[in-house]
Amino acid sequence: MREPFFFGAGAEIFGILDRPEPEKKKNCGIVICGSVGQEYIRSHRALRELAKRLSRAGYPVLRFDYRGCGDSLGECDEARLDEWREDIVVAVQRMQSRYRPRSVCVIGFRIGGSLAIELDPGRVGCDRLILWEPVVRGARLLDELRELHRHHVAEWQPSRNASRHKPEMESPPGTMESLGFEFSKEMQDDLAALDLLRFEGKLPGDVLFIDNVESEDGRRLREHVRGASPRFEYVCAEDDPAWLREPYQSVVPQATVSAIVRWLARQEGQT
Amino acid sequence: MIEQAIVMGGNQSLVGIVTEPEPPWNGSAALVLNAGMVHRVGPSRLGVRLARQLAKEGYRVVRFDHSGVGDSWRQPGESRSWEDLLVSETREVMDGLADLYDVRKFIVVGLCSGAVTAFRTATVDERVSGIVMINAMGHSTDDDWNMRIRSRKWVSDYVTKSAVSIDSWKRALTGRIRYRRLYKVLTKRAAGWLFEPKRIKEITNQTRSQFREVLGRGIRTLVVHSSADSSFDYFNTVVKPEVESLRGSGDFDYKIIDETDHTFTVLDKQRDLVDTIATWANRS
Repeated sequence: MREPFFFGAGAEIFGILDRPEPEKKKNCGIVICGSVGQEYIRSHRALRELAKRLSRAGYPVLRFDYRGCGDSLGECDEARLDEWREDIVVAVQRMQSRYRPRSVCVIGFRIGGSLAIELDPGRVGCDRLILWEPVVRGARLLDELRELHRHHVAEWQPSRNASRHKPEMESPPGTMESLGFEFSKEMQDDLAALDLLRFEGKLPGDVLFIDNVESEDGRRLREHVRGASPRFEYVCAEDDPAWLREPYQSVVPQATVSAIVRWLARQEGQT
Repeated sequence: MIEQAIVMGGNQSLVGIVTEPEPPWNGSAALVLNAGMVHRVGPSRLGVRLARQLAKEGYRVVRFDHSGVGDSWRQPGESRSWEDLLVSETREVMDGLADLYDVRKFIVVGLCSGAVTAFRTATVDERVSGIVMINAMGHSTDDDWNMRIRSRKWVSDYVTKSAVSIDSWKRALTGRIRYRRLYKVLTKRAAGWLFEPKRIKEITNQTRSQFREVLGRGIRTLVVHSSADSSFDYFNTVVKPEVESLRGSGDFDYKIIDETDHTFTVLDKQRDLVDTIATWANRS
């Protein structure tokens, strides 16, 4: 059964909890940190199916929308990366206060992975981390978002000069639109500064790194963070990239979901 | 802006968000339906923007997921057809809102298949006082009906785009053209003109008479199309012959939004759509 609710200091964050199968209940709570923009829309089904599989295996699973995204309050162009990091902390606290699990696993998908990797595991209280295709460099993501938008405008609004296109009259200067989502100048600066190859912090004790698409950035990040956790595993799961397919074309990334379920089961066996 | 998450429906399986109206509440509720398989947030968050704008116009608004879509789960053993289920669930949500807030009048807004559900709900539920059909596709699941209408779009694209495109002529003259597809499209179209199957006529006539009935009951209807969308061809088939008389009825509004895709991805087109609906809703 699923339980939707709003939480956080001003009840601004939308979350949905997949309750665990009672007979199989595990002592580990799971918080899924998803992506944003079109990636959020496209990957919703994949993350819902992941939550369903995990809850059937006995884990309580919380998914949530960052402020300004999905069903949460606010607009995308008001958001900042630090606020989204804080939203992850609040979501983990929510899981801890609701179920008091012995351990918490954060699953970070795309930008969610990039934000989760930078959290202090001791402060946040998360001892397992799954990074699923994290965005390695925010500047590259911005380039991709701009290119996708340019391509769409060229196809649908040929009379408009996409490179000089301002998203709307009332948008503040410097605002960037990508396929229906606006990013403020400050958010673009936040993203441009995001570079996981410069990450020097500590990771939780158990880390699983999942790729669906082999990339040079992904390989470099794996090498870079491998030593930051005592137990680091890598899986290349051959699935379609869930963040690129339109919802009507979406296919559940079964290999990835199975890899996550198996890895968590092994962690449970070791505790 | 006050929103709350709820679970509704006969089986308490439909997940939705209620957006409270900005005072004063006009006594009506608006339902924003799924656009195909996209969850309640909508394509490019259109569902959220639309819900919040309608709440500003004084409506209590619910965006929710049908079972099997988004976060709502499908009950095992469900025997109703998908189309009937969509209408039943929409009515169940209306029942829930009627109990919770004493709502008696509803407007129902849908995009793509959601537009057809809005229309079908209006044909069977007298509490519906208005519908918004955005890029309505389908109307029937009959394959031949859908193929027939889609083929109109292909033919129209050949005539309006390919026939006047230098690139297309270059490809034709150098043999780089999909002759088989061109032949298939044109012959199907010709066959459709010459031998329209009886059941295609029945679907057209039935939908057309339902449309007349909806308007005859005084249900305000707003139809919105992206100019290059296939839904335009469905509309032309079903009600175009009567558009002019419909326009005069006072209960029918029609708008075409140029240079946009099926789901109004780019923000300025989304704003055009949301403003159009809000203005219409404000007059209801």
